[in-house]
Amino acid sequence: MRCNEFDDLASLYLSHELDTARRREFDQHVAGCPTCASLLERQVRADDLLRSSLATLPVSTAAVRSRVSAQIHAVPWWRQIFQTRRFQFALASTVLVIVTISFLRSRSDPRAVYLFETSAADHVECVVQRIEKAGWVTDVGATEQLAIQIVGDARPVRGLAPTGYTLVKARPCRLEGKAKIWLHLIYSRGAREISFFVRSSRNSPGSTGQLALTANLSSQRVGDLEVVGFQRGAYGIVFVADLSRNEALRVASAAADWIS
Amino acid sequence: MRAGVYRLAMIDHTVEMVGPELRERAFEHEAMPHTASLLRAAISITRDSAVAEDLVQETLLRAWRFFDRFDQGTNCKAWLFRIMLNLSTRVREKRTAESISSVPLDETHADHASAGGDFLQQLLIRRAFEALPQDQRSVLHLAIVDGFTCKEIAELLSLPMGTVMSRLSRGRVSLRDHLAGRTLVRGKGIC
Repeated sequence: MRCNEFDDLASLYLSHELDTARRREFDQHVAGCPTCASLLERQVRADDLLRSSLATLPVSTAAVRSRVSAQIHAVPWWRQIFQTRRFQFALASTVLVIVTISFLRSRSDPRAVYLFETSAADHVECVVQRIEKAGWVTDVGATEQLAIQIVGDARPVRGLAPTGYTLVKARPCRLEGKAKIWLHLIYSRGAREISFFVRSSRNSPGSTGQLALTANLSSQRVGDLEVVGFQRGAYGIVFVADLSRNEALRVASAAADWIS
Repeated sequence: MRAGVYRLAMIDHTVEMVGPELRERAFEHEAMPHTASLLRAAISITRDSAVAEDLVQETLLRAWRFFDRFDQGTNCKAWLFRIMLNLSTRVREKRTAESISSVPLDETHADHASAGGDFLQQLLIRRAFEALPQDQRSVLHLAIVDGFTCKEIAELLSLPMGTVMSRLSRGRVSLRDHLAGRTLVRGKGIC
């Protein structure tokens, strides 16, 4: 170590940050160098004086502590409001009303559940299990004639077909008993086949199941199938397919838009 | 530290607690005892007792707000100093912008009785210290009074180690020379 390194190394020496070898070297140099020994002595003295001068500086922490404590314990305005009985009562009442409404809305209408389940069952029999049933027509013209007989209009046969799907066949279907006839339309795209069940209250009085449908799309999972139902004008529509809920809702929504 | 769990180091063991009221106890136990050290350092840095109080108050409130992030069992003093040094510039700028005049620290605040026979030299070195640039005052206070190492100071101030050593060296030389000069003058009977 040289004398001109003293000032650079002194801080590390005084804070005990020099490694053993460097510290020994520093000690040895100071021991043999009166100038650096004097500098170190004065440095230690200056440090001690500054430390005692500043460390004994009387500071009053009471004011700071009290202000900090007050802010820590201060109750925010929103909590003050929350703690009032009137607010708590209003909040509890609101929550109760919301929960009740949600519960009532979430309860499935049993008439719709029955309609959806019978629609899904018919789809399985006709599309998945391919059980032979009478009354099928495969020609578009014949299907339109059938549509006129059942729902009073031929246009749904083409209008309900989703983009890319073609008509496979159609038949009258007694979803809700003998007297309640729905038009069952089957469309396909590739290997996928989907069903639309259509009924119009213009031709015959609304069935129990049809009356359970609303303008909003309602959906239900039945096994692997997604069933979506809605009412538009005189038409009650039930859509059945092995699609995801989002995809089924998208197809049903397009059908609803067409009818509107 | 797991969120919401606060540890209190007792005399011979550590207690882990959960709950908002215990957060407050842990804060009182860990952070609040450093208030005086923070205040002294803040006075050294700002040279203004009112600004220093504002700075320490802001520091402790910020520490309280983020106390969940403090890894208990590590160096709370260093954590608080880091917060304070980060805040120091902003608080001083705010005070300047608001043009709040406060009483600067002067010698009358010193504890004469405890200083004893070294009082005059303490006074001289403190004057010399207060005359130093703020960057040198900060590192000297952190090193000499608060006992932080050069490495720790570099981390606290986000500075290179070389810069910290350079500031410490220049500050120490100034103090040492100032003290030597005064001592010499007094020795000649002029002071």
